[in-house]
Amino acid sequence: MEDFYPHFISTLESLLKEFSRELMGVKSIYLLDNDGFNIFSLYGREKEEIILHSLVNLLKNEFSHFNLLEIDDPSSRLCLIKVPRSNCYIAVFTARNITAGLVRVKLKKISSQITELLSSFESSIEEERINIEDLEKFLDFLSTKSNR
Amino acid sequence: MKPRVIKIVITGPFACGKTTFVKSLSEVVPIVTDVGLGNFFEKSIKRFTTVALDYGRIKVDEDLIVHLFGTPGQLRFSFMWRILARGMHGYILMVDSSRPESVEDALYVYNFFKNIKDVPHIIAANKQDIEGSLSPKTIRFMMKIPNDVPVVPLVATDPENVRKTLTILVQHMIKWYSIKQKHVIRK
Repeated sequence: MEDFYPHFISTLESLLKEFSRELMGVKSIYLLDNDGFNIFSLYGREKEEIILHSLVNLLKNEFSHFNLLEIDDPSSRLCLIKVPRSNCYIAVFTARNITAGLVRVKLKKISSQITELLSSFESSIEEERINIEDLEKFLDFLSTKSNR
Repeated sequence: MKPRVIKIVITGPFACGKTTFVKSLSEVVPIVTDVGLGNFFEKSIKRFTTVALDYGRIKVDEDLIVHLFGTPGQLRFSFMWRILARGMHGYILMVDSSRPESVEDALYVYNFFKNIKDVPHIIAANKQDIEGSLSPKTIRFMMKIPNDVPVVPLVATDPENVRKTLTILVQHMIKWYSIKQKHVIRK
C-alpha cells in the first residue's frame, strides 16, 4: 500500500496539471496538505458537466481498474472512485462555487449510508453464481407485493 | 453470513425511462445521478440525465438482496456500461416507443450488451401510454429481436406495470438458467 501511493499521487498530479492547462479561462488550484489529502479544484465558467465528466473519463482511462460510483447531493455532485487495495476514494465533485474538483477521501470520512451503498455496489460487481431457488424466491416476493 | 445477490441491469438509450423504472422499484432511497443537461437537443427532450448510474435495492429477505442498476443513456458515458454489467445476472433493455429514433439507439446499446455477456434479458417497449407509440411487435421487427426474447409493453410511470415487467424478466431468467443447468448436467 505504501509503495502504491507515491506512484499514484505523482501520476494523478501530472495528469491534473496537464488537464487544467488545456482548459481556457479556468483557474486551477492544486494542494497536497499535511495529512496527505489531495485537493484539486477548478474555478471557471465552463460547463460543469463537461469538466466533471472529462475528469472522470481521464481517471477512468488512466486507472481503468477503479470502481466508480456517482452520488447526488442537493448542493454538489460527487463521484467516488475507489482506489484499489485501500479504503480510500477519489471524489470528483462539482459544487455551487466550484466548477469541478477532486479530493482524496478516506472511507471513515464518508457517511454510513454511503459506505453501505458503496459496499453493496462493490459486492454486486463480483461474479456470483446465480441459484434458481433464489430467483423463485424473488418471483414469489414480487407476486406477494403486487397482491397487497 | 453474507447475503446472496441477484444483479439486474436496466439499460437503454437516452430518455427511455430507466431512472423512473429503478426509482419505482427500489426499497432504499435510490442513488440517482441526474444532472441538468447542457446540450440543446437533449434539453428539449428531458431536463436531467443520468451520468454514472442509478442504483436501487430490493431486500427479499435477510439472505437475498436484489441490486438494480440503471445505466446512463448517452454514448459519451458508455464507459460506465461495461462497469455496471460486471456480474449481472439479467437485464432489461428499455426503448422509448414514442420516438422511432430511439429504436436505432437502442439497437446500438443492445449489441453492446449482447457482446459483454450472454445473460437472459427482455426488451421493454416503454411509453405505451403516448398516442402513436410503436407496438412491441413493431419494435421486435425493427430490432430483429429473436422470438425467444420477450418484448413487453411498459408504462414506467405506473409502479404496478414496472413490477409486472420485472416479474416477466425473472420468469424468463428462471427458464433460461434452468435450460442452461440441464445442458451442463448432460455434458
